[in-house]
Amino acid sequence: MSYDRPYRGGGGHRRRYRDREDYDMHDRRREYDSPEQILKNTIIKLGEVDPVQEVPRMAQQIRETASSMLTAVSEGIRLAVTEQPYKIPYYAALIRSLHDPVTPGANASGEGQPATSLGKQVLEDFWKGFQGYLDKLSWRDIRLCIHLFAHLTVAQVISTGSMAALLQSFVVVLDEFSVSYGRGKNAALCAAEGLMIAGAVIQKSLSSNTAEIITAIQTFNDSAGSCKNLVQPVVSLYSDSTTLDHADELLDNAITVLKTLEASEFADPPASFPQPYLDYEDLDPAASPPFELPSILVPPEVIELDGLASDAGEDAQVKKEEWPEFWFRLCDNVVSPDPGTVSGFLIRSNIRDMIDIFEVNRKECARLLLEYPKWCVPGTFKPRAGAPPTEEDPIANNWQLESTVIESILGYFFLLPESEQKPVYPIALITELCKLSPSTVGPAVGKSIRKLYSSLAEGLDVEVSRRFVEWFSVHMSNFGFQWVWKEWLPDLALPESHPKRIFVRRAVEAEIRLSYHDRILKTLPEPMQNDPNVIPTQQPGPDAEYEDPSHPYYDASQSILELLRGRSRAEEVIGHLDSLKMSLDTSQTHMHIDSLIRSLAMQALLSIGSRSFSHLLNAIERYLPLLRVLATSGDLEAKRDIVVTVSSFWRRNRQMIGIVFDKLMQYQIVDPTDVVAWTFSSLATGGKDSDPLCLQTFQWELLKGALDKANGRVTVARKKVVALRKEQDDSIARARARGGADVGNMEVDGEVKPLKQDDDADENPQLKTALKAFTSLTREQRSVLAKIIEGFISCLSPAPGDAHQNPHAATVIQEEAWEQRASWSNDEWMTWETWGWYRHFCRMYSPYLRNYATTLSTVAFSKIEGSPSPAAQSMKKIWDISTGQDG
Amino acid sequence: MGNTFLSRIKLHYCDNHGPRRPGTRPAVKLQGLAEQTRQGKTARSTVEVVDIICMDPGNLFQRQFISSSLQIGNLSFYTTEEQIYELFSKCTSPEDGGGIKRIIMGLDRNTRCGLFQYHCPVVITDDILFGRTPCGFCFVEYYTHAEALACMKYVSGTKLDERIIRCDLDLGYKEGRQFGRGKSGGQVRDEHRTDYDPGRGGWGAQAQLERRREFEERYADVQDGPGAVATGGGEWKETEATVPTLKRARSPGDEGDNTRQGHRARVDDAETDGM
Repeated sequence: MSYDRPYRGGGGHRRRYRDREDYDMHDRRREYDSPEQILKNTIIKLGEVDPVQEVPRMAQQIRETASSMLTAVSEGIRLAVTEQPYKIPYYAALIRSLHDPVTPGANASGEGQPATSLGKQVLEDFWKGFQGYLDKLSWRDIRLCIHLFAHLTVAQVISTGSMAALLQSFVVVLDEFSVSYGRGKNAALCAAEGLMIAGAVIQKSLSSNTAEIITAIQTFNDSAGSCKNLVQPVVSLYSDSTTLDHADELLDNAITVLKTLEASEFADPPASFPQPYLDYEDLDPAASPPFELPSILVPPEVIELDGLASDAGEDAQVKKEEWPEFWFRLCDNVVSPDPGTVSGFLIRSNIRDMIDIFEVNRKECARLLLEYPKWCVPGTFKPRAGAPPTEEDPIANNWQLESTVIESILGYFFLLPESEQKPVYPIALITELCKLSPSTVGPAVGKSIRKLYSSLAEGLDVEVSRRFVEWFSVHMSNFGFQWVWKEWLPDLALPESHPKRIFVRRAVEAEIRLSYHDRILKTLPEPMQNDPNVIPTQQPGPDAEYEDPSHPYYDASQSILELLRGRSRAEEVIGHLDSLKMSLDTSQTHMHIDSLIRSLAMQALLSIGSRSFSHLLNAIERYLPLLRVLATSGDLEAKRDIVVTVSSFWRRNRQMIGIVFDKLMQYQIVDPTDVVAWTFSSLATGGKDSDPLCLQTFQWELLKGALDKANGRVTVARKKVVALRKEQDDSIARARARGGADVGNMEVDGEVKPLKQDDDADENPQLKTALKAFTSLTREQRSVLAKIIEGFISCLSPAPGDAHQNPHAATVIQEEAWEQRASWSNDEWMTWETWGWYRHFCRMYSPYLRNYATTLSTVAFSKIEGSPSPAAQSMKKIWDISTGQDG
Repeated sequence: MGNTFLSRIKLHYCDNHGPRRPGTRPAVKLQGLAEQTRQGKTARSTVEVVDIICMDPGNLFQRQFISSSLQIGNLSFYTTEEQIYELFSKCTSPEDGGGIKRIIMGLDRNTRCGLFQYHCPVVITDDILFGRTPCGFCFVEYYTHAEALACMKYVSGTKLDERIIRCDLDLGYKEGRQFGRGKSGGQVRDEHRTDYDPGRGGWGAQAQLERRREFEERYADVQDGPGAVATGGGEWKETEATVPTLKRARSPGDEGDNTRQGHRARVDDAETDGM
């Protein structure tokens, strides 16, 4: 058979259809009906009723049919293990049953010598799949396979020595020269989880081995120390502490668990996870020798070398660095699993994997999460209300399922610097859970919201707070905006920039965006309705500057508006503006005539685009020539004027400011640097020249929008260059392959014009253009990054002569000040928030910052280089950690 | 994802399976998500493209798997584009060059004022009579396919403006598709609807009169015909080089070669068509 049948390495099931000519519905149905498929499905569905009872029956069924369908069996188990991690102990039991020697008499075929155990044959085939995951470095799949192997070691199917050697191979990774944190973390987890399951048997025969593994993981974990402080969900600006009360770092937990296990020689605590195979009779190692796992080498990470560098020679490839994982805790260990125990750690690992795996189907995920207790040792979770009473078990944990699940999903959602999936996924997943079981999940959600709200005053990270607002608003939008705001009324006494007040204001704003002003107003208690710092008095709308008939430029403004409303051609409008420029009297304003014209024209354009997003796009597109003239004519202030006009026109609707900026950047009327420059210039807290500059969430979102636009363009340009190069290489190769064929002929054939082999990039105009674009885009990207760093410096550590001094910048990062936060004023809270965004900027964009680290630190940090001020030093330290320069 | 029970492939819009040109190979390998059964028959599921081997641009069935466009259904007539933008921007990946390209509101070709005048004490003006009002669906177009797919996974089936909305991958906007196809000018499904639905102009619209007034005027100026709908902005271009010299000049005789430029070009074409 060709490569469309037996499974060979990773992704084989995807590859299967490649060469099939008639792929359609009919074919698919036929495939479902094949006996292999039926067997595979049966294996995957193991345990729908009672896994313990089903295993022997399934083993029997496989014995009867499997000799011809071994591949289907091992593939079924492989899919099941990697997609249903909660069932792994039962698949171990199944393989163990297949491994058992066939009892005499049952073997009716009457063969003389005992055949190789079926379990072993399955494992041999399974191993190929594992090797495939290893080749692709598909870490989760690798780790889940290790779970299975570890269970099988306890079940005497796999030899202890080979299992210990397998775990050792992952420990080796930790000692690699300059191993990346992500790779190290994944390898450490493989070894740690394998050891938690199989530690007891490994300890018995090879005790030195376990100690070695634990020490190696600990050494690796210690080396990540300084990074940890930067990704904690609860911020402490003054200490370097790497541990937290309300969050658990994944590897820290793993080490705690392993240390405890080691102390009790892996004897305690018993029955932490299901081990159904322990009920089976002991095997005679002579009659059924254990399977020896082949030795492995964890392959190195593939580094893509596409040879694309920015014009300054820096590598512009972005590789997301992984950070330590802090999981936010909302409950204490009595309510949800303690990640410092074997059972707690493995349960959390299971739930994490389920959230990850079932990302494609949130409904299924919600159902499986609520059914999860079925797969745990009895007594792990508190029985459902109405379930038959069980005997009091003194060692039962009786954790609360719903709290555990919500805590895990929120922990996933709050991972810093960013969570693996888009933030809407965890939000939608919680919504599904609530729909599935409102009476049990609802209270857990409410409890979580209250807990998060209370931690806002305790230093909840600014980005976590931002996501909290996002979750809260979308969740409420799905459940009728029913929230008991009343309980937060006392907090209206706090200063307006206190994190709690900011949360309420932003949550209301986000709800209004998803709904409308009057609807949300009605959900609020009266004192909140009347507080402009909770909800604006009117619906967010445009604020046209010249629409008042008494305004001196009312007539001029109307004349432009009329032209735009009448859909006059852009050239006509430009002509009209030119004549206005001659005739307009500027004595009424301090503005320069060019600025005034730009303001009038932009206001008019925004005004016709204010009806809806589509109207805005239509207006921009119809008047692109006009906008280009406005943005380039005259002086350097042109683009700035446009940005300023937008922000004042939409001052009552921040959503629109973001949207208009985005589209103006998209149509290349303004550049990301213009948006960044304006954002930082708009920060003075009281609007006066001497006020400190503070950055809040809204401005952060503008910065992020501009930066992402610049980064996105580089990504697209890079892809284009790579694709064009490949195309060129291919055509060169084709031309070579044809050898003597003459060029004229080929053109007649209609093939892509062949390039002579000595042609280089310059000969291909498309590639040349793409490379040029790439160069200017990386330049723009770098200057956006530099501008943001400079902006943060002007906020947090302004030069001594600077107008905007902020005395709080150096104090809020000190412990004494933080302990006094109950008496903080708005400026102090806003300064604290600015620190938070600076930290987030550094950790979030660290892959980009690393690429340009040298240039950026010389250009942007020159102002504060060597400054002894605590603020400057703190800024530099955060920078150093993010760019990996911290020893 | 593999093909366990949770990811069985169900083809989406099977009846759209366009005629396959003789000689072309099947184009897409699908990665299926979970099976959902609706009203007794298996109806829809999200489908992800794993790989495109050979794209046949004439095949509508294939086209939806590279689409970055969605059709959103079951909207309230009062839902604004900004509300839609707020929710759907949560699925964007701007760092990969993504984002919301444009939103096209489904509009009533005529006007539903005929229906409304019985309930609304509004003076009927020309503006209202000839204005177009949203009729409960829209198109959301992203820059990338992955973003549209994320919506299928995370947004479809959740609420917007307190209604459970439905997302479908779409073949892309074509001139005229912003209007409902019902006889009255609205959506066909509203002509067959007999139930009471306050969000969709049913009895009880008075409750939202204020919002209604705003909407009746909002789309009054919408026109048909080419160019009526903005594109949302395309790829970044070198600003100095806007003169169309970027493309290699082609002699008129080259026209016929268009069809033979290989896969890449075809996929590109299909994408531009969809925009």
